[in-house]
Amino acid sequence: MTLTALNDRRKTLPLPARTVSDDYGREYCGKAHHIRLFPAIIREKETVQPETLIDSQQASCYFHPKFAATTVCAISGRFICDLCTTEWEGESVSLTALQEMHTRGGTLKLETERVLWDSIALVLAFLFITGPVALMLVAWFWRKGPTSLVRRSRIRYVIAGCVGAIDTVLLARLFF
Amino acid sequence: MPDSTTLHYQKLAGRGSISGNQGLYLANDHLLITDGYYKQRYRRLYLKDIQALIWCPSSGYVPVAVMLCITVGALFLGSLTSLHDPILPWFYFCINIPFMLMLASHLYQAGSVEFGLQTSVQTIKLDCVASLRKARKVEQQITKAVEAIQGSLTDRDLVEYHNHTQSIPQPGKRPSTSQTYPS
Repeated sequence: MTLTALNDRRKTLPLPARTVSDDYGREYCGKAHHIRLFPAIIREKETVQPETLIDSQQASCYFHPKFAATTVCAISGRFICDLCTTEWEGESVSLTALQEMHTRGGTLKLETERVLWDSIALVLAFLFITGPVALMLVAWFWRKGPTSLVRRSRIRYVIAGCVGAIDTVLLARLFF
Repeated sequence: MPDSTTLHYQKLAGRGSISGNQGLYLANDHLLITDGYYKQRYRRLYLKDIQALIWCPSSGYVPVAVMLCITVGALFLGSLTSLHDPILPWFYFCINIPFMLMLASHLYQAGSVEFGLQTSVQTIKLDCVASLRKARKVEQQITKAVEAIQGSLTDRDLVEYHNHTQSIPQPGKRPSTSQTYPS
């Protein structure tokens, strides 16, 4: 088990003898590191050995008919073997069901990216000429709420809407 | 299945710059790393998988501090040499205010660092934690959250592990070439 040096990713540091080490690893990578270790560093990796089906009366895995089913998928309800099982939110689920859920976008914990329409609307509102577009974005996406996973306020929509409305009125007076 | 339609995140660090906008957030069982201004990408590190927290000093702190000191000093000298003028000293002083604030903020950070988290499959460097003060604060918060899930690791556990694997590093002695520079 080794640690990766932050100043040079090609170099590694052997595991220190203490859980919290200051000024460690200068002789290995040329720079002292502060390191804090957690129990996962010494945890042994689990290996999965699926159970082979020996009796025709035994329930078999939905995806691997030759292996015995050991649990039921909490999402799809299918019988699955140890090879197909993974843990999700404290439940045993099949990897296929998890993949299907990800494709459907059914859970926040599987999302990998989002377009921040509230930030885009805000920038468009302050560009003046694109104010009406900002206003349309606010109207379109308001019901969806804040677009970022970590943002809970609609303040960007409110500012973009106000500035966009002023822009639209000024543009209308300018051209009509 | 537990409800996962609402998640509450506590902000640990966040930094916007020309090169990118990164944030670090803590949920009950994972850390969320966000990247991007208008299209936010998410990476999740589950607390049960975090093996180590690493940081080391980086070289950016002193040059920036020196440049800011020179700028503040030059503008201060400028205002001193133009005392005969009724407007110019105030002009220099007003220009100097943002630089003085930047210098004070920079000195308050107490140093610049590179900060990373290691799991069994990757080491993620977090650009949003770039100062020593922030690194110490984030370390405390992450340690508390990780230890609530994994429990705490003692020096004795580590010594037992080393004895088991026979890999205690010898102080002052370089490891074998294959260990230090993996191909």
